[in-house]
Amino acid sequence: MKEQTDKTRLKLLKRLQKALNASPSANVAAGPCPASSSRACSVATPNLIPLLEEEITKTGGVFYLARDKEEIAQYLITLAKRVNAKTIIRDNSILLQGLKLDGVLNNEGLQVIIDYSGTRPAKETNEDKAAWRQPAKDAALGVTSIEYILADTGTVVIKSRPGLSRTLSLVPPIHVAIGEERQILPGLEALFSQGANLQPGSAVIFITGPSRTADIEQTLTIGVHGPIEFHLILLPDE
Amino acid sequence: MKNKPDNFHFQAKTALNNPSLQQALSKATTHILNKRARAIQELTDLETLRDRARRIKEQTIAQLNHYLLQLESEVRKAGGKVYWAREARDAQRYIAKLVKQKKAQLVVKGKSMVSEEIGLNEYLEKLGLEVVETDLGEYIVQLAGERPSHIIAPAIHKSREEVALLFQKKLGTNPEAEISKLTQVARERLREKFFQADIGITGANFAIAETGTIVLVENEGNIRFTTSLPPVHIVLMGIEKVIPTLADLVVFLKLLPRSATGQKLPSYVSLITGPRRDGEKDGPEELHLIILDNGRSRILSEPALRESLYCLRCGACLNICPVYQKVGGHAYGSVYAGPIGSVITPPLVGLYRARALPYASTLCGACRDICPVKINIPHMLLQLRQGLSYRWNRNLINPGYWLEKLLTITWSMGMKDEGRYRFGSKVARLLQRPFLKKQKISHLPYPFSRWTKSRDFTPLAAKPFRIWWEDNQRSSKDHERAD
Repeated sequence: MKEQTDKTRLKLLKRLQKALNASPSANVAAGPCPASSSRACSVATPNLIPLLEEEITKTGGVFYLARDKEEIAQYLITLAKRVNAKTIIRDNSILLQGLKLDGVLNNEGLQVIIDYSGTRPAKETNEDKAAWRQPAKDAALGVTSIEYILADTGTVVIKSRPGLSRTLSLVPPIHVAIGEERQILPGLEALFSQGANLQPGSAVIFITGPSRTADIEQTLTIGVHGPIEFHLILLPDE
Repeated sequence: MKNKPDNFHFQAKTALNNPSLQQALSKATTHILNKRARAIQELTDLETLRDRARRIKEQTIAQLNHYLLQLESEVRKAGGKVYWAREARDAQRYIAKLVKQKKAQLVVKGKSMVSEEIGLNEYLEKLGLEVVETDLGEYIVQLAGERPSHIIAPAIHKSREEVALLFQKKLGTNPEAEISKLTQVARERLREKFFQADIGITGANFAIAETGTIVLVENEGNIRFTTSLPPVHIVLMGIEKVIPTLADLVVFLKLLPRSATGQKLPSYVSLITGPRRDGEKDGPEELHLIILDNGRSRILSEPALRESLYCLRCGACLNICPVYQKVGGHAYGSVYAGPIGSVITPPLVGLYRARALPYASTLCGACRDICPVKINIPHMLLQLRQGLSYRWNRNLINPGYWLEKLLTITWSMGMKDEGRYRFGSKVARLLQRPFLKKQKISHLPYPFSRWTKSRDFTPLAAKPFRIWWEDNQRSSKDHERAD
């Protein structure tokens, strides 16, 4: 679609400028904003794992501290069996490749789909659309790596990229995030002080617990559109 | 009949006489307020955060042009398109053009107050499109053919039984009034819509000028679906939603969810920067950002009302307001209800049409105290009342004006002179006698009946205080003497 003609745009901008002039910002204090007493993240970080576990549990998520890589596969198998899952979809990150989950899961009769990066055709037919969406629709478990973990809210931060599609952590009824201890940050301030890292990526999603609603009589109900279960498996630093 | 701001009194009365609405409102507002209080308590630096949030809004709005232009250029850099809409119809037409170009048939929507404001659903439905609201509360309200009655909880006015009946009627489901089952129905019905939709439309909680990022806050995941699956994503934002940097976002992410739903963080916060990139499988091919004025520049040019543009739409002032708690959102007859709605509706729809709203407040100040950005709502309501009474009083054929003038003149005459005062109170005692029943006045003739219609009038005491005092002194002196 054509870019907007400059006329309308300029008219609106002019109108805003006029409005701003009509009401000069006399009551606006100059100078920097009052500082928030945020905890700095560089000071010797205390062990954030207990806090993280507490917060995730509070939001209805499940936290699991894996002792080693083998435990992760076992955890996924147990989870898949509980819900009678046949298909698992995972991203193509180095972390997940390195866990060598696929063989172990295949041996248990579970199909593993690996999200791929691929250019979608410019003119898509309905079949094309259905085809690339199908894997996430079929999978009962979506397994993803993550970018950061925020301890004081029990949040994981995921950045979409080729091979880590947005739908992986959204469409399957269970989302399993796998993170490493070194990715844990105290909270939001620490995350945004590394703001530069957050810029790229068409979608950066903060996930805190499973999907929820309280739209009927303010009664909390889990799993309205997004995942019904959220798990975080944490791999401790060696 | 659709509710209008002109009919506030009638609509409020209807709401007050609806027992199931009264029950739903009191339950819901109490519940949200309790949750909020608990979440807010955790913030040790609450006041600093509120000051910071307010300062950021003040400074951004004071240089709105600068930040909007920066936002525009960053969104374009990220591959998005930007459209400036002066009025509702500009935005409508732009969306209609897109719809036509994409041959779209199905539109899914995330909750957006701005889209309510420009009547987008009705407009698109007239063009023959299927428009589906995907937030559970909005979905319920849409099926019922109503409007949201609360910014955060659109179906706050409906009980589970009413929702079950509605779903049965509209969707042919079991009339079971179990909330988890009703939620499941919505999940199944809407899942397919997400996959079929041609266009996704959302609002924006914040737009970051520095990076061109749209920030969306939600709990259900419907906004993630809306921004991930359809090939086109349209973002509708009011000019006041821009904030300078990602670092500023931290402050708002701490305040908004706590004030709105009593959560530390909601289930999902999406930071969307442009459409999907090369090699990504999902996300829209096109992202369109519509920056809407629609009367906001009028608010901007009014020094007295400007701070209403700092509003985060958290809904906390609705929950705490003694008027909202009783009349609910629909009574206001406007898209934006409650205390903040009474401030921003008049400049948006016209002061005369919304003339009842500035008076729909007790001026108790609870809204100002609960506001995460410390918006002085009572002050602005007073400003609007002043504007109204000025306009009203210029209207010399208004009989109420003359009557009021007559009364105040008589009153001031009576209060300035002891003799006149005594005479006046004697006359008043005589006049009130026929209306006095059991020490109360419950009915007065017109125009005073407008007072007694909803409350009793306190009569003058049978014996004036002055006389009572004299008698009392005398009798106590008698006592002393007797001792």
